[in-house]
Amino acid sequence: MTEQIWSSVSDAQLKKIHWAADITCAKEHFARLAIACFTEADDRVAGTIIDRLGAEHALEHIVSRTDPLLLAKLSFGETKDTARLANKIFEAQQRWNLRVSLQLVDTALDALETFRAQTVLPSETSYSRGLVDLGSGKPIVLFVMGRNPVATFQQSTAIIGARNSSDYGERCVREFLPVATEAGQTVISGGAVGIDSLAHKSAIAAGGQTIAYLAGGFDYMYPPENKQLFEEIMLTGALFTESPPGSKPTKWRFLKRNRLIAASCKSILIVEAAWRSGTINTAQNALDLGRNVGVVPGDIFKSASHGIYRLAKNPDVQLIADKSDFRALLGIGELGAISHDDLPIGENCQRVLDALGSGKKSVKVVAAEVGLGELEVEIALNTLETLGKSARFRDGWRLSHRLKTNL
Amino acid sequence: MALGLAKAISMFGMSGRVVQVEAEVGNGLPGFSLIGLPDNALSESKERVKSAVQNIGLKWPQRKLTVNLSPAALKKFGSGFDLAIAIAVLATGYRFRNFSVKNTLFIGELGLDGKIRPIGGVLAGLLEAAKNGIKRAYVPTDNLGETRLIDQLEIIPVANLTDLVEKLGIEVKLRKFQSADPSVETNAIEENLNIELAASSNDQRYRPDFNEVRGQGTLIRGLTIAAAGGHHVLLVGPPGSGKTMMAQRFAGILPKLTVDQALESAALTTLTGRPTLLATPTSEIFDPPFSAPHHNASVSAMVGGGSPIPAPGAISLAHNGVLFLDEACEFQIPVLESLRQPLESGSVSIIRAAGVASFPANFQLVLAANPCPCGYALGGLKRCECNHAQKVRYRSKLSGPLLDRVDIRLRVGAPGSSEVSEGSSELAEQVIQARNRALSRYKSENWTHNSAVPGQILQQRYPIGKSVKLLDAARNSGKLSMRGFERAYKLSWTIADLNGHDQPTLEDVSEALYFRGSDSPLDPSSE
Repeated sequence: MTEQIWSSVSDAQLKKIHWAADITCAKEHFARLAIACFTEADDRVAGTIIDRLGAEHALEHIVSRTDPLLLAKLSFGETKDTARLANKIFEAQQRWNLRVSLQLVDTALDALETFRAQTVLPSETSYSRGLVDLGSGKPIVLFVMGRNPVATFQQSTAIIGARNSSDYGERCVREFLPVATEAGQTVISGGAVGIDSLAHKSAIAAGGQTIAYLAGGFDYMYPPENKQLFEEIMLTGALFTESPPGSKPTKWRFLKRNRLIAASCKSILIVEAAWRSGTINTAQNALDLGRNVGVVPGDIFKSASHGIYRLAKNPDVQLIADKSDFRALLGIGELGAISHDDLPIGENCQRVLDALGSGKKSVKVVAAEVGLGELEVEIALNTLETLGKSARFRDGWRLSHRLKTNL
Repeated sequence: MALGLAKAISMFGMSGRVVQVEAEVGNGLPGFSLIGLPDNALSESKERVKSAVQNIGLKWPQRKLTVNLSPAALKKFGSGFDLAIAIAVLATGYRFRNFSVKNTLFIGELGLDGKIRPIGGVLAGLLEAAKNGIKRAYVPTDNLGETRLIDQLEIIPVANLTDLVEKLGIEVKLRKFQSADPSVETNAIEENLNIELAASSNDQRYRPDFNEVRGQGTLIRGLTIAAAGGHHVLLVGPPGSGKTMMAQRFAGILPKLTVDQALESAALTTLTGRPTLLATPTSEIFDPPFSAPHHNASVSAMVGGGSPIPAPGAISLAHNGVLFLDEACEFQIPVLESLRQPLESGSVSIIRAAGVASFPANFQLVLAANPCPCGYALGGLKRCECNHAQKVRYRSKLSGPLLDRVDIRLRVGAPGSSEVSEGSSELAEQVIQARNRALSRYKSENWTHNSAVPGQILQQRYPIGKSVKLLDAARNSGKLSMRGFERAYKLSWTIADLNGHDQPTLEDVSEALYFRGSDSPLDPSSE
């Protein structure tokens, strides 16, 4: 019964996806595009079903409104949770059914053609590895305009901040940003006015690559006054969004967009943020994902500093007061781009790292767990400490804060 | 006028000068004057020589006798000139058939009865004499042991003056030598002194061995690395954790000395006036020396000193071996600081009014220290009771420049398990293998181990490849200083040599980073 959906999709429709490598690939692009049209961003039920069944089958079930109980069993197998899961799927179907229409997909495809935009699958290189950390909440598909660049997670740094930026904040961006571009980092931001715009502009001026994650579809690029900037970004970098054409940049979508900025970069620098702001929301997302978060201190009497101090109270957040602080945040040294994570750690180190958790363990316990000698374990722990992956205490070792939240 | 000549040697530190002894019997009232800047011991030589000559039944010149020690402007010390003076004086009245003044040297002190007594520094003296073209030397029988090491010149042991003049072919008949001391055997020369000098494997003497140590695997590994690369070591730990025990066993895994090194070390020992060590040389002389001065040692005791002739200090006695400073923080600061220059140059110069004495001092330093005055700051059986100021004062004893030269910093804890270590002989074998690897790498240069290679040159000519990123990371994170980076670099090569790798692997570098330890090893809060 579910096969009928693919018989109603014409070859002409699939051919519109000319950037796909082959017909199977085009089907996946089509399926993900369709589901993206039917669901709202960060729909974890849809995400989970795609992860479990594959995008094409997921689309079939969504379009044919498969019985929730059957779908739960198909996706998760028979468990004692089946009833609860079925209920969730039922609620989700209530949302989806309002939108399910292949006509919508066709319109979106035509719009993509107009904007010369493409879709990017999670398996493709321009889909940042960092986004995978979002789990079932990762974008079902990304829409891209521009050069469709390879944006490696390790080499990405986000610089974000307040829209109503001050001279001080802009000076901070000009001070720190060249450090990132010189080290070959891609600068990621949100394309908003203020700090975000300046980050993009400075990165382009410094000859670096820059990427903007937008909240709405490409027919609602926001803010409109940055049209010129977006054109410039596309020349060297790219504009990404997870919203299909036709999606307006609503407040909800901005909040969801923030998680993409947080996930796609390894380090994030925050310059000016008010007590309640989207910037704080992005920072929280980044901390939850275990990203390196740095804040630039500001004037305590200005509201644009209040969010900064709110963040700075978190022990995992680093204060960035000079270029070497920023280099440390990026994990690069004085002498050039040395990213610790580029270094393959030895076999012993990997085994010991796997055994560490957020609770402290003595060398003896770790040695027993991984089946290595105590000396080998001590050497490995010492190396991991150097690489910032483990933390030493008088009574044992644990993962360092930076990694803890990642697991 | 009758003239007699003989040669002796004057030592100052490790350097010596051949002294020509001239005796002249001329007209004038009978008398004996000794000139050429002799010290007190040497001035009294007149009485000893005269009595000895008369007591073996030879005639003493009954006219004016003048003995000159040339070069006359050089100050001369000690009783070792007695023999040369006696022969020079006798040569004025007697003829010797087999005596060539030019190439023959006499060393020894005379007893009043004609007995020839041993003196200190014979070995050092002979080595210098050989350099000055001496081909044959007569030495006291009791010094024979140490002289057995030399093959550059002919050594003839003599027990008494009768024996000596007979060997020189005196043309008068002498009566048998009678010692005034009945306990002394008249013919003390044993011909059978040919000792096998090669380090014999069937050596049964007890040496402290690592196989007596339980559960200190980390420490022993660290010491093995130190031995392989010639790195200095610091051991930090609470009292009773076995620091001293480990250090004593350390010398046992160092490579045996070469003949040249053994000679050099033995010569230094004889200069302290301790001939006893070498009365009968055994393969022991090939063991690297172990010098462990007590912590109340003065600067002079440490680097050498004394008057009028400076004697070598503890660091020179550790030449080619191990200098172990137990309770390093209890030493006086000037004593510890005096080590810095010898650590760099491998020798020490002692300046006295009479001249400058130079002693080699190429030693491997092993420091043992408690982390604080009570010893328990790093944990242990008790709680530390020291206050902050006490700890700071205690730690400041080991200055940065001194610690910088120490490549390996080990924290000694309570024994982790009851596992018995590998024996010293197996470890020594690993050390030799590692050193051979280093030697073949540096075959075009004259470096014998990694720590001898200048850091910059090592990094340029012998890069460690991709694994260097780990050291870069450590430097960038502030865990290693610039110098620490250089030291860890050397350690990486040593560990690669020990593990049989052609280039340090990531694991080797990891291990190097671990054994390099922290920049302030006594401070528990530094990690």
